[in-house]
Amino acid sequence: MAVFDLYINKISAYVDDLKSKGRRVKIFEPAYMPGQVKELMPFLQGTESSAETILRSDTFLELGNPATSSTAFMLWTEKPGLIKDGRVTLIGPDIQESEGQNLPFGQILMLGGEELDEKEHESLELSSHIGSKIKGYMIRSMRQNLWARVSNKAAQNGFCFEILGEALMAIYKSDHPKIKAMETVFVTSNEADVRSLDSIAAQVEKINKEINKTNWQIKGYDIECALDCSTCSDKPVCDNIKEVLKEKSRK
Amino acid sequence: MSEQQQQPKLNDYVQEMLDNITALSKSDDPYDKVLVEYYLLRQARNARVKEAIAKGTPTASVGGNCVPELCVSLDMDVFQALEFPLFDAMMEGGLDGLHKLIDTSAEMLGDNMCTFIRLAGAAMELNQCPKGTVVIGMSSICEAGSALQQLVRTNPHYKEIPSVSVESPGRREGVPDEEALEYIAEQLKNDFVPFLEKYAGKKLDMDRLKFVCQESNEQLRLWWEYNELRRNKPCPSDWEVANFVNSVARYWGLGYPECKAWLKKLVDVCEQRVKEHKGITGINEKIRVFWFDFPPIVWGNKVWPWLGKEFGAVMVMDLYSDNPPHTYINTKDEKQMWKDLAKRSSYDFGMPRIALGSADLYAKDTVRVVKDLSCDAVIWPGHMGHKDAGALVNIVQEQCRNLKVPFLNLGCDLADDRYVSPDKIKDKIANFFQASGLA
Repeated sequence: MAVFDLYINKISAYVDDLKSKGRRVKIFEPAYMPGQVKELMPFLQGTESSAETILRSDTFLELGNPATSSTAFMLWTEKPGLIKDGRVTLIGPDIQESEGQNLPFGQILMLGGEELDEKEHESLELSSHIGSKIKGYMIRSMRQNLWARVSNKAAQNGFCFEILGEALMAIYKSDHPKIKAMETVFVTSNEADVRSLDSIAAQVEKINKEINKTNWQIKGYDIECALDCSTCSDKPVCDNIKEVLKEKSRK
Repeated sequence: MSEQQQQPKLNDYVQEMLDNITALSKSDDPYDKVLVEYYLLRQARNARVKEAIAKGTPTASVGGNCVPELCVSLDMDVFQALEFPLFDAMMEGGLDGLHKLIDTSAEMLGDNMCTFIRLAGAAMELNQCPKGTVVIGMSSICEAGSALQQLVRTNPHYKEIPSVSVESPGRREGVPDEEALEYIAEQLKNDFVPFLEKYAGKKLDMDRLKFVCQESNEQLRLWWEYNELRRNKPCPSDWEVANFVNSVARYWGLGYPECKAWLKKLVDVCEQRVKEHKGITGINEKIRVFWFDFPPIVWGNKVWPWLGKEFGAVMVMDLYSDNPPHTYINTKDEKQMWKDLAKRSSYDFGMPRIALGSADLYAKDTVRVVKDLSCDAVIWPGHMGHKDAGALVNIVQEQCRNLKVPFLNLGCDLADDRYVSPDKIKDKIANFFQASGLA
């Protein structure tokens, strides 16, 4: 079993649990054949060459503002069969019905591909910095907390979570041809539902750290060394340098 | 003797500062007017703190980040040990005054530690630091910082001043664990509060603390908003103002309504500049730079205006004005509020965040800032203070290589413009821009 498979199953159980609790759950299956992204064209800009700032006055709604709860993480597996390719699951209200609101926000991206492995992890993480690739959608901060804005204009043009999910899938698949299946889950129902993802997010973050640490080690860097001089293997070198400096200052 | 003859001649540094403020005052640009308001606010705050110290009204001299929310809730103004001696030295002697203090500090404490910490230590030894009612600090974000706290406790001029500091456990996972946060929260409640109450001469009113935390959240939100605006091309506001925002929102302006009003006004003005596609006055923005450390507040104004005019270079972000996800203090749940205060003060802000975290944070911050702010180059100042960061330079360089963004390891001093002169720095950065094809 690959590192994140357990958590992919947990997300499936999480969605089922909220369904059983009566939350409004919408599932969007892919409405188009792969490669046909006509519906996304108004929103996908393709490049991130120009920074787009969505001003407060141009904001239709905010997602995951720190005053509410927010979490975001990515899971990948080398078993594409675990992923329902193209599926977008939304738990809670959609963008169009939430004008002027600040919705709690959970975003889970699940990617599958036989050739995905730990070596791809860093570049998969890089894709989360979408810059201005989605027109009218601005991510304000990254890593575990995700805080985003949707512009008035995008909302007028029909921007919704189905489109956001499809746009993210198009970006990831275009950046990483090894991704063969991708599924997204968005949670906007309430703060508690988003917070209940925190324990999974924390575990995922620990795994991310370990993978990143190993990848840096392969490149020859130790990104997590002891802060205590007495346990550091380089202490003799530092001591030597100090002695040389002392000698130098005596002369 | 005429009135003009009686006035002492101002040094070049002060004269330049006054000329700048005078020019801003005459400008019709709302952005310039907001900057003038900043200088006035800062002046009023300095006067208020100095008066409080002179009268013996409770104040707190702080090192590092210091849970300002608690001090403000107990009506204690906060100030930093070095703040006034540095300001006074420059007001009295300009750069010569600063150089004199730097040289004295090197004689007293050696020249191989952070210049700012060294200056603070020297000012303390020279009995130049104002004596507040109490001294508070956070533990060991750097060895020099810890040395400074020890100095407070042993220096004959300051050792009688009651002091307290919070111990923050280091992190191994990049984010603090619940146990660490509870440990710090307990210290805040059980050690900090009774200590501060004793010297403030009043009990902490929990409703007042909640209000101040809400104000702190709001100032943070405005800081975030301001930083988001800097993503825009062209960037509507320059690095010095970003540093003002940082200090107001996280330090001396926290909890003061006039400071919140100033932040709001600045955000409004910058939003308008974004709408009008206005960049920094007089600069045709071409190169967006991420300054990967503390901004060059002492000598930066001798370098950046020139880089702006010559190359269209703009410092769109520095590591300490960056807005990593600071904790929003939850005032609805008291237990959580203490933990949020613990996290905010010990792990979120600039140096503690990265120094107590793993190197992964440096790598991730590089990616986030470069991508989100569309940076064309990363400059690592490489001053001697942040030796821990110096050990990570290759990691950041590697990350920049992945991002296909040129990286410069500059080499300079935080405050001493003689160590590497502004002209030399200009030359190095100009060569870097040219060699990397940015200019």
